[in-house]
Amino acid sequence: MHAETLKGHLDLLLLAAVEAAGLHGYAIIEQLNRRSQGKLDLAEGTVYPALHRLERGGLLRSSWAIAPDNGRKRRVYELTTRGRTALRTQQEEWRAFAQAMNAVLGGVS
Amino acid sequence: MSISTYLNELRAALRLGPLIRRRIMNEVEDHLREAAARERRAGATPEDAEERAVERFGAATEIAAAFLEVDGARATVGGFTVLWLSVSAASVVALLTSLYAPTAGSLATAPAPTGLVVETSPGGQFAQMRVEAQADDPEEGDDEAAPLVRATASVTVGRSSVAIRHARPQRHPAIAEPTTLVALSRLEPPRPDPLTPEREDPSDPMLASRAPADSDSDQDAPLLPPPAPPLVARQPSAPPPPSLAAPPQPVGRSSHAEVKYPPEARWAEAEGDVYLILHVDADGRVQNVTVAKRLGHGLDQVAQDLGYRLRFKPARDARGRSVEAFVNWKIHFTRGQKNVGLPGLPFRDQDMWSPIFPRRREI
Repeated sequence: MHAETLKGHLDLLLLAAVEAAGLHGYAIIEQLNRRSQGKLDLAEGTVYPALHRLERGGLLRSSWAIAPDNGRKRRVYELTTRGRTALRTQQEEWRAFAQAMNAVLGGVS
Repeated sequence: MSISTYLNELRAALRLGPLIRRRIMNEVEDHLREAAARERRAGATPEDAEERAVERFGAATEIAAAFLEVDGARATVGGFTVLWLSVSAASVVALLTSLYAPTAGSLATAPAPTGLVVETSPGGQFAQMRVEAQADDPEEGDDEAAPLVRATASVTVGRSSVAIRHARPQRHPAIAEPTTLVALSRLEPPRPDPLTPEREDPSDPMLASRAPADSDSDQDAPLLPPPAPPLVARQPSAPPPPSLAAPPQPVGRSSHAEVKYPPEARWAEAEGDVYLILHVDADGRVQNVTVAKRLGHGLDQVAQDLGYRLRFKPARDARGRSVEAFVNWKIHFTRGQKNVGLPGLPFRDQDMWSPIFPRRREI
């Protein structure tokens, strides 16, 4: 997917990536790649400012954790209650939008 | 590029407070080391592995700019003094000097060291100024990395008020904090600006050529910019006493009609504050709205429209007379908001109307 297109939806993707469990930045990117089967092409560095923005907006919270494999400090992000609610709302909005787009473009509605 | 070279570049571009910078550097390094380790496991040489990890992460200047935009407001950075000096020493003097002899068409671009642009309304009664300055030394030719400092000034020509609003854009730290309103409630007779740099000579021909706004309006006054004043710190020695007794007070809520949150902004999930400068006349009506800090996605226009709908109890001078004034106003937009209701608040009481010259801040 084109980077610019992706940018507009990055927040939603990030919220979805940490829905099940708290993850650090690298794991979030891996998660996105895995779920999208490598189709999401974005500069990995842009994920971190986006995570910080979501944290500032109260949708994520983060804490330091020690990586078990190498002992390095890692910032782990997880959803707040507000973040969970925002994720639900945005998922619904996205589905409605996608449905409308598909209907117009003649795809699956 | 190796990881350590990349981290050095990033560190240099991150003009943030030490705590947040350390956190960012920590996260980025952790990411790059992990990515490189993965490349090595896939068979890359150590050099190639680092190269690929860095490449996938994105250009240091771009990533730094994104961090500055998000984390800037957290940090306390001492660019303010530089900013203030840039604006006060160069632009204010340039602006005031030229505005003493205003004609509608003659407020041409007044080049100042910071790149000063003066615009006038067709009637010549209201002028706007935008200044773009750099607080620190940017990398050569690298606009993205340069922390731009923007200043907006609202000026009433031929009347008594001048206001300067300078702000840092989003990516620059502490946008919401250094809101400064400079007011000269009486410009007649002209007096030296207390922030005028020391070397400015009161007998300067530029200052002598000042004329009242309403005289000789078609005279093509020479509006050469004043010599660039040195950007040296100087404490304002004796601020003029304020001549305003009361700031404008917002009244009523009936004018805060709801407006639609622009669909574009909803899709972009735009959230944040739009900062406005309201020019409130002596009847309490908003005569002009200048957007001092933008949010984009159509929200600036919404904020501006809302600004015009506000009503105020006019400002009063020491004798209790209604006078015009400038008010800083902030309109907050929250994601998911279908409509925009009560549209905002003054920044802070002391910022709303500040008829004194701001004190210099310590770095």
